[in-house]
Amino acid sequence: MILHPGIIGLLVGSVITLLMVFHAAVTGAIVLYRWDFSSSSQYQLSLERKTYLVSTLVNYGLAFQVASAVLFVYTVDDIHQLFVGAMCATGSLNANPIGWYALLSKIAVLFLSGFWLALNYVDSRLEESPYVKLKYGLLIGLFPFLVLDLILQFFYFLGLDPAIITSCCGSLFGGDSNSVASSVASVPVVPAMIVFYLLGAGLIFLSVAVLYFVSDLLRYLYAVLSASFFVVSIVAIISFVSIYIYELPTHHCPFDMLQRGYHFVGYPLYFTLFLAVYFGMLPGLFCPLKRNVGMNTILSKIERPWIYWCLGNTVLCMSLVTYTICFSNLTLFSD
Amino acid sequence: MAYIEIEGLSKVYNVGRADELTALADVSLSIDSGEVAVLTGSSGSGKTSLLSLIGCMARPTQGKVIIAGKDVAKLPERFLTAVRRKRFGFIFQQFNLIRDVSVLENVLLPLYPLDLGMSAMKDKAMPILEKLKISHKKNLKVKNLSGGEQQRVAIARALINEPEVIIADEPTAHLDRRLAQEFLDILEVLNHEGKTIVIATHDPFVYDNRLVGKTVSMRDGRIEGVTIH
Amino acid sequence: MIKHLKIIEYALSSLLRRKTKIIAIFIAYTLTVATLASVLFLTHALKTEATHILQGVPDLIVQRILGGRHDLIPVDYAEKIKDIFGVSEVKPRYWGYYYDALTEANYTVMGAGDAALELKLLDGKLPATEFECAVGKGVAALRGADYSNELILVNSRNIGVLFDVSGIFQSDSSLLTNDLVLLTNEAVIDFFGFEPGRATDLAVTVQNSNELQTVAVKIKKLFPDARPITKRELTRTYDMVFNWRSGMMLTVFCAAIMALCIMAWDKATGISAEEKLEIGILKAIGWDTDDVLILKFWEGVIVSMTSFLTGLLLSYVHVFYFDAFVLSTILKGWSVLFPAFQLTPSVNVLHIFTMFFLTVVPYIASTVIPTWKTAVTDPESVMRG
Ligand SMILES: Nc1ncnc2c1ncn2[C@@H]1O[C@H](COP(=O)(O)OP(=O)(O)O)[C@@H](O)[C@H]1O
Ligand SMILES: [Mg+2]
Repeated sequence: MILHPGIIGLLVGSVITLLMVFHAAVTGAIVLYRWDFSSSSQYQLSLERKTYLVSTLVNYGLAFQVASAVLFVYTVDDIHQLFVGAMCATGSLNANPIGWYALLSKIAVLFLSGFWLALNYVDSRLEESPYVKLKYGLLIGLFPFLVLDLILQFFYFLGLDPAIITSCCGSLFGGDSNSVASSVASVPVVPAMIVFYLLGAGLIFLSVAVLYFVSDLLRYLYAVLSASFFVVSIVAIISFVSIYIYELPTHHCPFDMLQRGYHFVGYPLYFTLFLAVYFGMLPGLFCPLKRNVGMNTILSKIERPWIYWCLGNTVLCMSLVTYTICFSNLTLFSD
Repeated sequence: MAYIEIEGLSKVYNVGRADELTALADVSLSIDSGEVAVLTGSSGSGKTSLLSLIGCMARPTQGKVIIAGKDVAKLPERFLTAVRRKRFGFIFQQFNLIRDVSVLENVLLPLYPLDLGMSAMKDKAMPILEKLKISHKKNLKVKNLSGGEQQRVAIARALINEPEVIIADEPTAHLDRRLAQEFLDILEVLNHEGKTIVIATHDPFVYDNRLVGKTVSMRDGRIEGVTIH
Repeated sequence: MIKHLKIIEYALSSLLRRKTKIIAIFIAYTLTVATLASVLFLTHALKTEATHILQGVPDLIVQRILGGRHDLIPVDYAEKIKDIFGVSEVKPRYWGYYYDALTEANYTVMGAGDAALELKLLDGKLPATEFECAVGKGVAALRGADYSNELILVNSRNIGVLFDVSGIFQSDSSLLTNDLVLLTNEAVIDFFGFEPGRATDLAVTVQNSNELQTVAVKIKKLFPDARPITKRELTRTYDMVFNWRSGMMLTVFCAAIMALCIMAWDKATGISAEEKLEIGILKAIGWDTDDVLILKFWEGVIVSMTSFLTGLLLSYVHVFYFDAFVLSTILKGWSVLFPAFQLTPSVNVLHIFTMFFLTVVPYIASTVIPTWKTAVTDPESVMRG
């Protein structure tokens, strides 16, 4: 275990978040079992008031999660100096492979809690709160993910030993090992670019289509496309965006770009990507709930800003990628 | 159809406990748009309870509260607030102004949660303050005003959201005859402008006023009788 | 948006109305942030200083280990190391620590090698004869030894030796030269009474830094009693020490944070009748529970941000303008000379972020529940006195 300030901050923050969500989940469980909409008893009223507490707790919890994801990457990036062979976050993560799972679980928790908040937001806008039970059931389901996240994070930091000699992005994302990561990095640039731009364009096109047509099918497609855009973008970042940013044809690291030396360009890149994907998935995820008439009408109103957000962030993300390609000193294709 | 319809309304406090108390039992009443209705009765007869149910401040134990055609009895608080904000203006017995805040800000407070700019809000407030003759004191803190002035600030605040109904609970309890008369004069103007007014009072000076269209006398949580003038 | 701006304005005015109540939490909050930030700023600044030192350190240092302890190294090892492929230069270094009973301070006594030549002199010149020395600012101040004064040190044979101060050091990082007494190599050998043909360690320069590791392995094979230390290893050790120290301090200060949280909880719970009435009025005149929660959120943000920034500012001034005089007594272990040098201001984003996590997050978390309790105040309650 390394007593790095960032690690202590993360662990303290995660424990607090967990406690808050735990409180929310327990309250949620009580609401779940005692909720009776038709009752006008004082007890029902107190349950209703508790729902405000649950939303507040989860809101803060998610905000802390977003901040902790950033702090996690920042810390992991900073502690690379402690390991022989590590040049950036990749090296620190390799120093104890649980780190990769911790990172994945952080991403998963971000999306899941984001979806939950969207459901909560929509449901609380309906007079009869039709999804209270679903909502609190899901909240209880969300809790184990947070626990898992904390456990992974804890064991990752616990298992870090500065004596470890690790390998860094050079070998992980280099061509000559046969891990998943290196095969991602060795995805040839041209096909990766084509797929990235095609999918991005598809997402923009679908956003507009979804704005004008009410079809459910379109929305499901939109969600699937958004999710694929996430995967494809990550592949694209490792495969070609990175080398344009670093201006080195062999440097495929997805974390270095978060460092000051590269003007923190990674942050807007990842933020826009996450937002685009998140908002792109929402309309499709809410389609099954449209059978409720009230939900249907309210969704058609709330959906629009979601689509705008997805559209805007997709455009921003793609512009950023295009910008780095155009203004990079690296030229892969000479004309 | 009546603007406010109440059917079989009851309100029980502390249900299931030793101190369970029925404040209202099976009350039915209707109040038309533009009417001035007065609830009378001795202290503890349930006037305030009935007013808070009409004004969407609380939810009944049983029965229906239909405001402009919509039953609000079972609405969650969030939506109850929305209805209250849109349709009702309140004048409380103790004024309930925020004492350390200026007159203008007190009057504007109901509009804060709305998406309305500060200047637009002030444009709304100034004519009301002028009409109530307190615009010259708009920057004074409420605690520095006299009782009569505070009453007028409270009225201004009740009017700021352009409500259809004004609800006043014992509005003259803290006023002398002259100020009470002044208050009734203001109500008369408002009524002429089309506002529905519901007052709870046991002050004969109010319920014997010519303005009053309907007197509802209450006793032990029930309506004893309704007099239409 | 407009709604939030209006609510922020109201939050500000309502906080100002409750000044006396807020001031206690503000002070506690600011102090917690200030202590935390001082620890992090200080360790970060020291780390930066250490990095400066390491810049002057050779790629590879070879020490000799005897009985598990550092021992003097035979200078003729240098010849064989020079023959290793890739090594361009090997230089013996002569240095040691000197405890000065007069000032109760430790000095580093070093022979003037090449590394010393790179250091900027404030005034004067490097020692040229055995009777001259150049000293760091800290030593100069402690001993009142100015340029062209004399410095008396007691050598290993317990005889006082007189040196002429020929120069005083200046450097970006004063930590580097602060406790330094520079003599000629011969003077150092004589002063400490080193055996002839022995040096403190060997500085090895390697042409290609990628080959450092290989060279180190070869040296180890050639001389089993040698311990080659690469610069990277040093950097890591420094990092470890600094992280560990600040980590320990943080763990200790978690208690302070706990205290802050308890206080925040207490303040948020113990809301006055007047405040409760105010919330009730707001709800009665059309504010929703959500609106009150937003109000309380902004109040929290305002209190947090002002305390946080004030705390940061205080600790910045404390560490970089007053040489961390409060903390340095706790951190005395560093060196007696510690308070004498000026730290170069440098702040790390990560640390600010960490502080945010360690103070704002617990504060907000501890106020959520009491705040919610306030926000769900029954509007009907204001209908009755
Ligand atoms: N929150 C409460 N809890 C318990 N009893 C209450 C509560 N509010 C009012 N009551 C009781 O309900 C009855 C009716 O009160 P109220 O409506 O205030 O009458 P009025 O306004 O005519 O004086 C009274 O007996 C009062 O004590
Ligand atoms: Mg009453």
